Amino acid sequence: MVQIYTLGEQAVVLQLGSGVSMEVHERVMAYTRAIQTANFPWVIELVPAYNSVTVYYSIPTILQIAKTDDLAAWVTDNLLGISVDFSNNKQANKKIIEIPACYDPALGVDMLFVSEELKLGIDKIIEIHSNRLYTVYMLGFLPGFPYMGSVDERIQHPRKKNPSKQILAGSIGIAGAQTGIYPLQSPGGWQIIARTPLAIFDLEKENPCLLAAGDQVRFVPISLERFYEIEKENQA
Amino acid sequence: MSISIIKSKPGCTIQDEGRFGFQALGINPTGVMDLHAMHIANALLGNALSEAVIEFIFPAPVFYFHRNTFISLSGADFGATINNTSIPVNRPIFIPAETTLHFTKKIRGNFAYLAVQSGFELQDWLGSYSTHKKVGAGGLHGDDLQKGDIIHFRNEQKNYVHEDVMVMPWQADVGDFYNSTIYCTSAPESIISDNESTHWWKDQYFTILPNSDRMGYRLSGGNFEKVDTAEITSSAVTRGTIQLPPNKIPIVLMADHQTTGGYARIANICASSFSSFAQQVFNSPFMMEMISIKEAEKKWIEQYYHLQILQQACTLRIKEQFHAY
Repeated sequence: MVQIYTLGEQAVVLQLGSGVSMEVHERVMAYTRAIQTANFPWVIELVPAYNSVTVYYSIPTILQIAKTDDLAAWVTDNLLGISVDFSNNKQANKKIIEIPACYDPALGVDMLFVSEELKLGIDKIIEIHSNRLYTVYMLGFLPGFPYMGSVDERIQHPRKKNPSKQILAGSIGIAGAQTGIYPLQSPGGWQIIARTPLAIFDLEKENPCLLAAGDQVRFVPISLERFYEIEKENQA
Repeated sequence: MSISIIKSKPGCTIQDEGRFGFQALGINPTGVMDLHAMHIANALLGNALSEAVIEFIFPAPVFYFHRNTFISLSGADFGATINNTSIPVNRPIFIPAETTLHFTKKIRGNFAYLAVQSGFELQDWLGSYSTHKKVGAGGLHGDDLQKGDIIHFRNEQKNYVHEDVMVMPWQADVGDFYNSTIYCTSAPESIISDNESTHWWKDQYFTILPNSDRMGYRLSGGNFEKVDTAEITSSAVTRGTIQLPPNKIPIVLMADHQTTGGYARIANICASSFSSFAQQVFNSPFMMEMISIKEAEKKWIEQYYHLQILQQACTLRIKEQFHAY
């Protein structure tokens, strides 16, 4: 079942389920691909989220091609008329990106706190966090910020009550069942357990964001020395 | 052929219609706060409507023009003066070389726009000139314009030479682009909740709270007793989305909004009301009204045609004027 809601007069939200699950995510990605494939000239852009896809459209383009005075209804009809292929979701087709992560408390600034709160050793947290393939459900909050899941229940921890004023770029955080990476220096509320020397967001690149919705991510633990080495290589 | 900032003030940036096509990557569009004003300023000069403009707030910067040029001011009226003579908004103005432009008082509105004939010569980032301060890209250098900044124009103005400032004999009637009531349509969470709770706007006066900015306007007013503020699984938000956080102080997302959010989306301000809303003076009361999406589309299309008529009329006047000289 798809429910469609307007979000202003230039966007509709396709609600494809509720909550956060792999099953709903697969539906979101299938619809995103199907709308992209349909190649409607009036679609400006799509924003996939955990359980929805939002379609932004151009009213002037629709006025040129359609005889209608009911634009949102016309858009809805067109979107519901596409065929959606759910078969292309095989694990093998997904891009897997390995992200080096230094879990040293010097960089994972909340690691000691989280370790105490969870009554788990740092080594155990590293093992659990890095021993899993995460799915990028969506990007948002900041340019290139990936919302990934799902974090093993044993290391789930709520976000901070009082957000930090400054989290450094590359910081890897956890919040409930989610894990994410801060692409830019920013205020934020996630518990920071590691940092990557990779640029998650790079202005100079044609595609400035390392990750996209639907990608798979694996964190590869590295030492503090290795972190600084990679950081140095990147700057060179 | 350029303009210099000889005295800078915070909140002065280069903006255009915004950077679209990258919201799926979390790259928010930014762009002007008052799109109509930007379009009107460009139409007056015969520019493409989408040409980048300088957006500024009051207290305003001081600008210096190195060479002869045509400019236009639109949006907020900050009492522009050249050599102590008042310069009107919504008119094309010939500026002779070596002229300083000051702004003296906040007469109306929050965001003023300065356009120059032929537009500014700038480097785009991802297809837009809008300044994205968070990532430090777009505009001249990704930030507020600073004292000493020089922005070049695309083309030199050579056809028209005059010794003094001259206000050209045509003006934009902006009445069709602004309204006192702010219109809204329903949004995902307002449809999900029950009917009575969607009447939070009825017979209510709203004001914009002072802790509002290009990211969002916070509102006081509204009857939210029955409105559910449960957070949602993060989903897209857009310009004009009214979010209701658990503290029941609504936030209206503006030009620098994030691409996704987790607060309940209780309504969306109509694009045809964005300009009026962006220019609504803080702490002064206004009313909101919920309309159907079909009515909202009708208003949008009407303004779109008004703008095209304005553009055609200006093009005609420009041709006449330069033929005459």
